[in-house]
Amino acid sequence: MKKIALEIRDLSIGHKGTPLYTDITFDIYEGDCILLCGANGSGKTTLLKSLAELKRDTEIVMIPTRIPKVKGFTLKEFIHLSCNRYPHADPEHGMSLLSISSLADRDISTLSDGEFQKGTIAAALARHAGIILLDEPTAFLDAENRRMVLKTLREICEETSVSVIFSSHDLHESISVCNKVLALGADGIFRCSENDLEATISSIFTKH
Amino acid sequence: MNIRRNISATLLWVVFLIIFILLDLFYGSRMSSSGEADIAVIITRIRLPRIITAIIAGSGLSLAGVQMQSILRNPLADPHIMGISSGASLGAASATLIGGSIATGSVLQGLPVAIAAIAGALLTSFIIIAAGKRLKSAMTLLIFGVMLGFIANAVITVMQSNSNAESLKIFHSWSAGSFATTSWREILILVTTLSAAVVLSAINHKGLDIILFGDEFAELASISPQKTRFLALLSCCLITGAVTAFCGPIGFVGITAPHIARGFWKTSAHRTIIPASLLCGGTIGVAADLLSYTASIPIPISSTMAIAGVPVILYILVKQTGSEL
Repeated sequence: MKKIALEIRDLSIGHKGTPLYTDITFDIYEGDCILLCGANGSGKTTLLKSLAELKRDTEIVMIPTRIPKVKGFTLKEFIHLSCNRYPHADPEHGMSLLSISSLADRDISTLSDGEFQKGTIAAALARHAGIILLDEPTAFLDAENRRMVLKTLREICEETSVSVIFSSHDLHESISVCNKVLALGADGIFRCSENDLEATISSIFTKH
Repeated sequence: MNIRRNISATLLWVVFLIIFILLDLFYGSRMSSSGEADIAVIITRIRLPRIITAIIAGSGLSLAGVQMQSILRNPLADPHIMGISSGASLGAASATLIGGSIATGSVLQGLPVAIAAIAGALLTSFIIIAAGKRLKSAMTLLIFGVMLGFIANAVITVMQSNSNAESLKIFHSWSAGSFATTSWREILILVTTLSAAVVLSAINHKGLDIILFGDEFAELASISPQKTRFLALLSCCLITGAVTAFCGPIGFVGITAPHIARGFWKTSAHRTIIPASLLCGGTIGVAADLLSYTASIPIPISSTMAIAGVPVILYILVKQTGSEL
């Protein structure tokens, strides 16, 4: 029996007082791999940020989209920087979980986008995150790197008790690694489903 | 491996610095007509303060450059190009040209001008930060800074046109840039502001590393991007204001020195790059001073810096083409 990592009840998200979605209710179980989908500007990032701000026993880490690969830092230094205020963080542990320890001393500007994205996930794991939120982790990646990152997300969920929620526009590729879908529907209704993923996803498209 | 590289890069640049200092001290075109006794006087009274000023100005502007490049995430940022030097000039010019009619002697001396220049620099940088909230592109913000500099310079020109001949003469030689006019009192002010600026940047070095990866990453790493920017700009304005007040508006060393430092020390971590930029910038300052005094005709420092610095900047531009700049 899987344990609940986080229960969300009647959450509302919006911009500057205008609500986008209300009555957001869903459960995150340990090891869940969850796809968050919705049109551009529908509030995916807002929802992820709201979740990241929840104060919980579990560490919730949000990885922003498109972190630049700044030249002049090794992957190890980068992970150490992101764990700056976390004395208990373990960068070696994070890297070894994703088997990227061999990249530790490489300059991050020489890594592929997918390898660097794995580095950012390792940074979250180094902080012993219970839930990792990723904003568009596969955007701007080529097909090979996209597959590598999605595979990494699935492996984390299968092999550890960490749960992952990520937003993406690569819907069909993404649901193949997910067991749950959150959809910000075009009709203004939030949906969460474990059974009929495809149908839930289609709710984000405007009906003509 | 890293430690060995750091030591050899540091040694190399310390040797450069010492060579330039010695050349600048003992090899000067204005040595010939003087007698033996005068040479000691020239060296201790004229050249030594000038060289110390050159080191402080070069390293100070490089410290400002490295911090601005990081907080604006723009490899071409420095206080000169972003208009902060012009803001400082406006402050210094206000204090000089308006106050010039009251004060006697060299009005470009002393604390009031430095304070006015720092205030001018702070004003400009707050405008840039406010604009940075709306202008997301690093290039647009850079152009905004250049425009801000034009406005400040236009106001200075208006003030010049309405001032007396004496103030104008002082102002003109100052705006060409020189390390030669500083007194020990002014050097004390420069040393104090540089120390304060270095301390601020040292406190802030982790934040400067983190902000390179974006504001959202900064929040992930639990640091406040606003606080990091504020500390860095305060540090920039202090040293840019003081240097501009006493040496004139000097450009390009602030852009180039951090790039040279990143190239030689092979890192972007501010723990290393801040001291490395200080060393390279100080060396460039002395080299520029040497160049402007050993040439057959006297060349103002601002011209020396432009002639030597602009090719480096053009190289950066060409290399960066196609990337996210």
